[in-house]
Amino acid sequence: MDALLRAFTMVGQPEVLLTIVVSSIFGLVVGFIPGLTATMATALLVPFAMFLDPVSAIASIVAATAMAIFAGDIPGTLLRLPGTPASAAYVDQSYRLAMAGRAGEILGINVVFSALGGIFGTIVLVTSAPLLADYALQLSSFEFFWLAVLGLSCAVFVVGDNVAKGLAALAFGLLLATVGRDYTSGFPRFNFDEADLLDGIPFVPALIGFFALPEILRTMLGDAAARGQPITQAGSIFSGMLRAVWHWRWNFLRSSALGTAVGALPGAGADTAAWTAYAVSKKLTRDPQAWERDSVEGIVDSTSANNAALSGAWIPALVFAIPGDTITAIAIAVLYLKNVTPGPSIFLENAHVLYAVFTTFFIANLLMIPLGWLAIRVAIPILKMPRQVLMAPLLLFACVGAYAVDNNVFGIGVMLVCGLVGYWMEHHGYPVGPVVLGMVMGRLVEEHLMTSLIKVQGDVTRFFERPIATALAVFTLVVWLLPLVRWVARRLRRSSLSSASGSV
Amino acid sequence: MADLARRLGTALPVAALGIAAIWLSRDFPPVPGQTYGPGLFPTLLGWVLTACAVGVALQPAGARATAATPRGRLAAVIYALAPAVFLLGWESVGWPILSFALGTILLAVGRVRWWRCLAGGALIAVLTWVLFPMLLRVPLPRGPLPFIPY
Repeated sequence: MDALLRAFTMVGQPEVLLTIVVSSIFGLVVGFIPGLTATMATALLVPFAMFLDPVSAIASIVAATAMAIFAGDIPGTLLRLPGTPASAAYVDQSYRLAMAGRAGEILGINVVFSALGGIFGTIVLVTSAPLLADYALQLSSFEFFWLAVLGLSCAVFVVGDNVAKGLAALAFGLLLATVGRDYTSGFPRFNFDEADLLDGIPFVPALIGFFALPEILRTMLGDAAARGQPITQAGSIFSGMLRAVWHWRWNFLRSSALGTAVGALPGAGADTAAWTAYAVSKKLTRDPQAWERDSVEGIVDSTSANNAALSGAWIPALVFAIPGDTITAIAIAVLYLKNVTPGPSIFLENAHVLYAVFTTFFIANLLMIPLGWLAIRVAIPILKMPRQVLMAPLLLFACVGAYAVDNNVFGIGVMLVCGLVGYWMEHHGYPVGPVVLGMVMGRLVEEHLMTSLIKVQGDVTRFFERPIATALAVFTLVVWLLPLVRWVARRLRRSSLSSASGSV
Repeated sequence: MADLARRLGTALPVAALGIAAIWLSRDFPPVPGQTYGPGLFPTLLGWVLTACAVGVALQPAGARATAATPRGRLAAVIYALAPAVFLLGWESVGWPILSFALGTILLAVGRVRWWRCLAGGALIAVLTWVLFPMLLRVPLPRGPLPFIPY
């Protein structure tokens, strides 16, 4: 109780609150600019955090990342350019609905459900952190491998009815992830003697290329669909939100829980959580036609999940000093530099710091609604301008964003190539979303596949020995077989209908 | 016949990618003491890509996209070439001049009046400079204008 009171006193200090507000605005700006990720916001904050006390330093990271993940939804909805990878899963659906004149509603849903998802994740973090982290620690490479395969399997069904094209896009993304040094032996693969490719294809420039450049080219080609003025509800961002929250309460709870759990798994961050929640949403929806057409269900699910995952990633980070994602890896480094050792002992030695971090999470997520509203108001006038005029600054921002990740002009080249490939893919009906998913998860899948194979000397049957691994494998097989079962059922229904009409 | 050509045009690059992945992975050395190594995963993906290409080729081709106007095509080509211009003149020309010149040209392609193009190009150059090098400490090249502050 003493530690709790001490934590409240620490967070209530004006300089800590000011740090939270300034970092939140910084996170919003970084998240809003396509190509600059929440990880980049965190990395840019570290030099400043060195001058702050431990609570302010961690508070600045928590606030900036929460805001950046939400702010990534703004250009995603308004311009089909996900500000951060965590918004990529539902960017197509958000943009399509925005083009149909529902931009205000979608942005309102983004900000409200992001904040609620973050608060949900924080509650889980505070109450059940040791349990979840303990569970994640019990998983071996076999379970991680099957979890990753299951996530990818679900994603193939996200892309629509064309499984062949979705699977091809996913395999292409996974193949891109193999470029560079192999994780097991360090052998360079597919780098064609290019030193810049030894560490793999830079992800953020590729992301900008796949999502931004095709959209810019389509707009300049003069596609009718790309010329619309999406904003028609500028003044009604929060209109009907209470009703929406009540209507989608079960989706919110399910996806936030899923996002928190995914976030708590090492290596799986907010972007994986968003993709998984999106896939689950599509599978479990009661009205598949409305889900595809005009429902916001998929957006509610994934936008809740990605912010919940942020809090979830802190569970193993704080309790076991195992980073849930790159952001918490940086945060752990900051804690060490501030002489605060994360791990089980933090509850005994620095409980007040721990509680202060928890309090910061609540404040940052509550601040998201007013600050997010302001950010949206600033963004909306952008769409009043003709779309083709916007493309010039957008392309220059994309170029500088691709450069800024590693301060390397190679990023601009990667962006250009990926953009042209992305344009070709979309022109021929291949979805680009699974490519990005494959790039995100490729390393995880291969790493766990190889680790598991080495453990069992190549005996694949032992991938099914552990009970959780077996359950995950069976579930994966069910997901794969589901389209086949549906196809057979459809054929049977058709043949029974035709025989019935023949008898009439 | 046209449908077949379009289907092959959609599927063949994927098949070629798959075959290339299998071909290039064949010489990757295995992990010591094992029969598999860095080539295993790319080879598997190569087979998946090839199988998907067969699946795509067997499907009917989708609806053809509406043809763009010659002006639209020219605009798209100029926009696609702009990042390549950045690659060529990054260090020698520097960001301020490149962003101003390309910003002006790209706006002009979008049928904006010339004085607005110039003003827009200048605004883009100033805004990106203030935001990236001055606030976010991104070291954009200054080119022949070394007096511009970081």
